[in-house]
Amino acid sequence: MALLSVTEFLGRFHPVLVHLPIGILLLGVLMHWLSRREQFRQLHPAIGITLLMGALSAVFSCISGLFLAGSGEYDIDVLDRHKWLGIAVAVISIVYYLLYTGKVSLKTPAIVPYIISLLLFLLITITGHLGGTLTHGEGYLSQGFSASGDDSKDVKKIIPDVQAAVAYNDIIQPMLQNKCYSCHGTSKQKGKLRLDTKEFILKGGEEGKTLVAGKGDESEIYKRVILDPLEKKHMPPKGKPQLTEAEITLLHWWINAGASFDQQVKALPQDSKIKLLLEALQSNHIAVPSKPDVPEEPVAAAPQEAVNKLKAVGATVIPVATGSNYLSVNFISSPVVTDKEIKLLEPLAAQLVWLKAGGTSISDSAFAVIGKLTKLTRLGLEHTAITDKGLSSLQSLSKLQYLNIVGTSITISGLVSLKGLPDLHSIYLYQSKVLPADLQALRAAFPKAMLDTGGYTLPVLEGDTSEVKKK
Amino acid sequence: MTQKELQAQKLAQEATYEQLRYVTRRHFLRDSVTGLGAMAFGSLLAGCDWMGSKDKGATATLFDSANPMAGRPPMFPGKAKSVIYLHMAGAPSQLELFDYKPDLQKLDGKDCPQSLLEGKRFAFIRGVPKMLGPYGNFAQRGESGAWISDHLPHLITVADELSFLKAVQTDQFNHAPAQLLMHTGSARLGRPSIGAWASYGLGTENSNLPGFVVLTSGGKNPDAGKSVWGSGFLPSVYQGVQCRSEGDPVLFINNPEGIDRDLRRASIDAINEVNKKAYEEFKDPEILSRISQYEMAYKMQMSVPEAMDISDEPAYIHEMYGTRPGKESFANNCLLARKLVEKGVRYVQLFDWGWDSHGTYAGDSIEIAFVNKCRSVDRASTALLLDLKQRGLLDETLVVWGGEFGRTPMQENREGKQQSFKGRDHHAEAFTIWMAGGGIKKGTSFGETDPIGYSPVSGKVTPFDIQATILNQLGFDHEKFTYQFQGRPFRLTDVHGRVINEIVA
Ligand code: HEC
Repeated sequence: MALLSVTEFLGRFHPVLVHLPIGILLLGVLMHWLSRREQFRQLHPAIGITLLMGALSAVFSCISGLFLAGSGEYDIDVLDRHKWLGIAVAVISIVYYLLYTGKVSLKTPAIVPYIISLLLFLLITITGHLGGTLTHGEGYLSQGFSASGDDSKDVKKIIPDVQAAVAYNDIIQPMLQNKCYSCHGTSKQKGKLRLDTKEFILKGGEEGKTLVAGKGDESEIYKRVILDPLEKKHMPPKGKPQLTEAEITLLHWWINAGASFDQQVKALPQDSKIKLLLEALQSNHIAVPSKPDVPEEPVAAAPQEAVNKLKAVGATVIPVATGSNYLSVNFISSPVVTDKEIKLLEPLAAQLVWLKAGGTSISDSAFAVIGKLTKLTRLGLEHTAITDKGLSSLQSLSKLQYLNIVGTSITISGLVSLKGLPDLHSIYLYQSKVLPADLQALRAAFPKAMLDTGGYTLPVLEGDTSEVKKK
Repeated sequence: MTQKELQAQKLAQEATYEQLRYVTRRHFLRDSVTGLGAMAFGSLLAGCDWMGSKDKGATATLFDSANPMAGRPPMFPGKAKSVIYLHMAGAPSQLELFDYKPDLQKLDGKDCPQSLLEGKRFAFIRGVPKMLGPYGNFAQRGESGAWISDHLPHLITVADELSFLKAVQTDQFNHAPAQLLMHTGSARLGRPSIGAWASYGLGTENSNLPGFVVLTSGGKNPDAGKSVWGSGFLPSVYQGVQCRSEGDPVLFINNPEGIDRDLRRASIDAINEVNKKAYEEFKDPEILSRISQYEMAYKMQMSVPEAMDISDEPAYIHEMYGTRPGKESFANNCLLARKLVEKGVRYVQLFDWGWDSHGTYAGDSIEIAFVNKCRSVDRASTALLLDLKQRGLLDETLVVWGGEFGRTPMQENREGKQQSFKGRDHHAEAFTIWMAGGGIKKGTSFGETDPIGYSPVSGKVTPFDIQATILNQLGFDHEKFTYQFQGRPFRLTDVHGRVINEIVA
């Protein structure tokens, strides 16, 4: 962390200090109005000093606020309004104090201090709200009432083969979504511009066309992102997540190549620099042999009660990633696992993607349940009493990629019943009843899968047990 | 109330009284005063964004005081569920094993060119040393054509499973700091090790075993001592649990005479009760670590005999690894590592000491000691890979093999004298590490060194890059995986590191 300068440090007290003028001035106003009534007359002497303290604290708040504004982390427009209104609060509260106490005797009608107090009340409310918007973000107050989804979530596309990817869908759109949708999407249209669909992008914004196909340098969308970041018109505005160098280059490349919304990357001209950037996109994501072993589409959370029941029998239930509702379950530390415990998995059918039930006491009847867990991509059944009969009920696991039946009595006839599973790419058969002679037939049944029958041995070499000695 | 419960209650009471005796009037006054001050200060800070933490993407603390070892999800679905890191402490020679340099053979016995010595520092080489040709017969192995010498006759049979990093560069040329850098991201003491980060991030899948286990062989602990598997500023529950390398892996697995399991439970409950009170008072997370360590120790008594005992493995498995039951051996540790990973342990760190081949005498020479070291690990490392593979575990277990630095292309000449054995000095500039399984590409090699193996010419990677890659395979973005300490978020890789995507499948 960089050291704070004194002014920056003082600036950080602004969010605390501002509550003083709000409280004290409002108290002053309240007392002023109350003191009109006979029973509160005795408040009178306190009002002057209250207003003075309020005015002074407003001045201090302004100063600390100016320091804080220098840190530049805020939305400039809102900040500007907040600043001037804040200064207005300070000035008016001083005037109010002077008029109320009669320190300057202007020949004003008696009603004026009351009007000023109302004005002050309004100003404080608006300034306070803007301050809240600055710290908590726009729409903070109303957020709880509207159900509008957050469309600016950080999305990452998995690009197994970048040349086959659609340039807009897989490269440009995700970057706009991450960095621009929050202001140019469904919930907000800053500059009357939306960037979330092809039609809106082509329509442009307040200043007209945003995209000039084939001419990156003339396109507003590109010009804005390469402006000096300190410029007001730079996009995304100062303090918001910026496009990276690579993203900017790719945006320029895409526009120059015709800004097509449906062409594949390989159809667009690429020089060596672009090729490198594109390749980097690809290797950035783990390109698994086939599909990712967690579905991309979101899923609702699993019923908590069902999860708790599983945990109660010692199962380990962990989401596959933070924020994901997809689950992995294993029974490594459960003392006993029988078909009964396996039944507890049923309510998790929509979420369960990885299951390790190896070494448990389950029997074939558990497979009626496992067959319903259709989201499974990885399934470990090693060292269980499962037979061919049970295995065939797994035909419904259309997403299955990894199957471990090491140490079971599965034979080739059971295994071939899974022939139709399209994504099955690894099958572990060590110590099962699949014979070496069956392998050829199995390879024909599972042409894309790696079949590992294990049983590896290492030859005994002289060096394994002997040492070289000093000559 | 049963006899047992009464007994437990009495124990807890006794322990509480005992502790109360230490609380004096001064304690009372001090605690009252600091409490007030802290309250006031706390509320003062809460209003403003005190640290101005801009990186909202950083991880909030994952430390769950009630159950610090609970299994937790990674940031994104990781390819590897566990890591087995085979560290050859002392630094094996890449020039005898993987980094084949025929040109160096031609220079054998000639003076080292000045250009390689200028501005360089070595641990022991002085003056102008002679070049030393590779000792061993190289050939390209497997379909991938990886260069591996005949010092590792078993490993060559699994060449197509391996991914080589041929241009690893570190900036430390002494064992302890280089080992620390490799495992904690800093050459100085005090940072958490990769395994500690991993168990902090992931907890353990098996509530009866620690998340991070350390096994040593070769007769000594690594030079950097226990800090290479320490937890640094992370709560100390996350430090590596070192198992004994000879005899029972964990001491006191069996209860002493006259104490049964229930009494053991009761006394641990009593101790925990007191510790919990202390925690409520002082809020020191280390107290929670202590509580969960007692719990872990108790649970391990139950599960350790099963998980840690390799003697229940069939004879052909022992033969495959080449174990030496009852003795300290790398092979035993490899077999144990497989068993632990099978049981859900996240990170198993092996250290095999004795690879420091300076050539000052037969016992640290390349022709004798080094060759024998190779023999002692070759079979077991290969067996480990094959055994993981046939159990369907290799694709979710990342195996890493390497030392803390490499060895010089020059013959060592300690104190400027000629040595009668072949030996090489410490070399930080370039060395080889391999990885396998856990979502790493098979049969690849990344990085290249110059014709004599002195410096990287392409694909240079650093210990930070290796750490970033390990975390990536486990499902963590090394740039976002942080822990707040002393007022700033800390990362394993500090400000360095990149995931070596070239070897990620
Ligand atoms: C924090 C909100 C915010 C974000 C994020 C943001 N913008 Fe803007 N954008 C604005 C505002 C406010 C305006 C209108 C003021 C102006 O013209 O500068 C604007 C205007 C524009 C305009 C001009 C529209 C017109 O015709 O007047 C373009 C083009 C633009 N933005 C592009 C982008 C791009 C591309 C991104 C993402 C890389 C982006 N913006 C992200 C706030 C934002």
